[in-house]
Amino acid sequence: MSEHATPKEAFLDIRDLKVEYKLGKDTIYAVNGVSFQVEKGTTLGLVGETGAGKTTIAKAILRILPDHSLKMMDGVVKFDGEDILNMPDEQLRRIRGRRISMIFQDPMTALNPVMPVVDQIAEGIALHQNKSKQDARIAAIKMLEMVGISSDRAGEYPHQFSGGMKQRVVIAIALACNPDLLIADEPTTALDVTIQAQVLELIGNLRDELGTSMILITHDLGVVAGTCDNVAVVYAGEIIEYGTKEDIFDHPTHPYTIGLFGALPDLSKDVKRLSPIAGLPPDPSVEYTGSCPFAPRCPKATEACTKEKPVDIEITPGHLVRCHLAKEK
Amino acid sequence: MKSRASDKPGSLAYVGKYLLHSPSAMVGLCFLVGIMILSFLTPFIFKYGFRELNIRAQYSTPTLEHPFGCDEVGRDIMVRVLYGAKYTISIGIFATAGGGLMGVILGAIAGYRGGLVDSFIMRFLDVFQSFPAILLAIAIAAVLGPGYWKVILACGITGIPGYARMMRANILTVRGSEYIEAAKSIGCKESRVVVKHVIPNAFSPMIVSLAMGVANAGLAASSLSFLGFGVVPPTPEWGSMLSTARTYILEHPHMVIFPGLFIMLTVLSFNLVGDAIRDALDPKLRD
Repeated sequence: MSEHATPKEAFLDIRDLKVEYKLGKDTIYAVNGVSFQVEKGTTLGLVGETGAGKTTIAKAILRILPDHSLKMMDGVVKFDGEDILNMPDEQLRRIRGRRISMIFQDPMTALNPVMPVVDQIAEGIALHQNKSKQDARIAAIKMLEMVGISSDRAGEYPHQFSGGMKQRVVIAIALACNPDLLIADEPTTALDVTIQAQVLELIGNLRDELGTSMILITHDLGVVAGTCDNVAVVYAGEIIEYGTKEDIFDHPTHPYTIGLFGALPDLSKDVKRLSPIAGLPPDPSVEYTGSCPFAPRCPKATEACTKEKPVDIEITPGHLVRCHLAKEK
Repeated sequence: MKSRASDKPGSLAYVGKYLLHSPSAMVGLCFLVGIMILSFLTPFIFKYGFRELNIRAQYSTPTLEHPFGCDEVGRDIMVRVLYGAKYTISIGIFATAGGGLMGVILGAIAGYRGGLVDSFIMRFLDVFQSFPAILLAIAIAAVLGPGYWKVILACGITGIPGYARMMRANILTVRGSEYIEAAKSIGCKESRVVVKHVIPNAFSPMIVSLAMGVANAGLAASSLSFLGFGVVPPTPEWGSMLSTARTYILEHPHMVIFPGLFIMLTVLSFNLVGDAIRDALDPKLRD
């Protein structure tokens, strides 16, 4: 689709991304220096607890964070060689929806309640593909059929659809212009398990058909195993472990990642209780500059963990861990 | 009701169709339209003019000749009530349209821009809202003097802060919702986001309040006339008729009952129509 990508740079290159919100007098440190790359045609999984900053990373890529509560956004987001964060709005609008699009987390709130669904899909098509209203509508109906909604329901409103169908509509909106990069923000969280599988299959098929790169945000490790090439584990607005799917699943190194896998129920054994990670997610209004944010909950924490912030350590090529203990291995 | 693609919801044709199928709205609408038509036709239909004196019929109770009776100088009350309808109804509509438009614009700017602009507009409107509505209307009317357009201005200004506040609150709710981010994420311009996504969602709760506002403004106009600040006698505005008739409330109650009854029916009709318009425009309430 886009041949003009410079070969040296990654398709999507994020360096040291920082996002802070203001909440009354407090500052919320949502994303604290995140760097990662996504190559063309690959899928990156962003895994982490609720409130770890996954959605904020996604919205920062599209620069759609709410102005009124945003305090600071810093770093570099380069998409196909172009700097998103310092781009004029006019230019950014041509990228949004056409080259990068997003599947929103909650289909109940991501659709405009007073607009028929077909118009919501057609809107993006009309904006980017220079089509007349009528043609955009026809293309939108095709998209609806592609996600498995019959064309005679096209004129209906979001409230007339079930949750799973709304999620399909949200997916249809995101895929309407064949984006080069798809950001799927927990596309299955609001759905029940049977629909989850259908939706994931749908996204996977479409991705394979269109050759789209994808960032999949989720807290479901099973979903990651099924769809991703690379995985980034996010904790307190930082990527604490990054590697290929095999790296993360076969050799989890950061104690938090190990804890995440430990918390999964093992169906082959008869276990009465799950083994959770002790403690609560960290307070996002505290900036962890001099210690590891996971230290208070870490079963292996040493004195160094509370005195010095760990840096990324490459334990095998491409497998990065932000932990003091990884050095010893 | 299953909506088809052909009758585009939100269009006037759609709302019209919906009103035709709603019995209560039709009753209200028929009353309002009927009384408006009669109001303009009174000079051609009825034997008596609205200011024609007939001392022999003074204080006459309702008879076939004078279905609503006559007032203290023998004027036919039915003719007067019907003739006066156009004042109350049109003042209500114009005052609400003007006040509502200003309120919606100010509220939308305050809500969407936020910050200093918001504070400035809202504090300015707070000053207006710190007076009881009717007192503010009286003050404005007293400064401007009596007259048809001046009553409209007084009633319109009184309505602005309420509409602005409501619009602002709606905009704030809508502005933070995810579908606005979603609209931006597919590449909509800010102007398009506001016009296509923010305003339609913020405006639909306003509609019923505007429709009720017509009733309130009509009522306020009648109150002003009752107090002598509005449309002045001998123009038979309902409020001023009541004002004259209240002296005779014990001896000749029919003089008070009929103008009062019509004020009530008019307010009720506006509310019925308002409810139906709200239902027609809000797809969430439709099924």
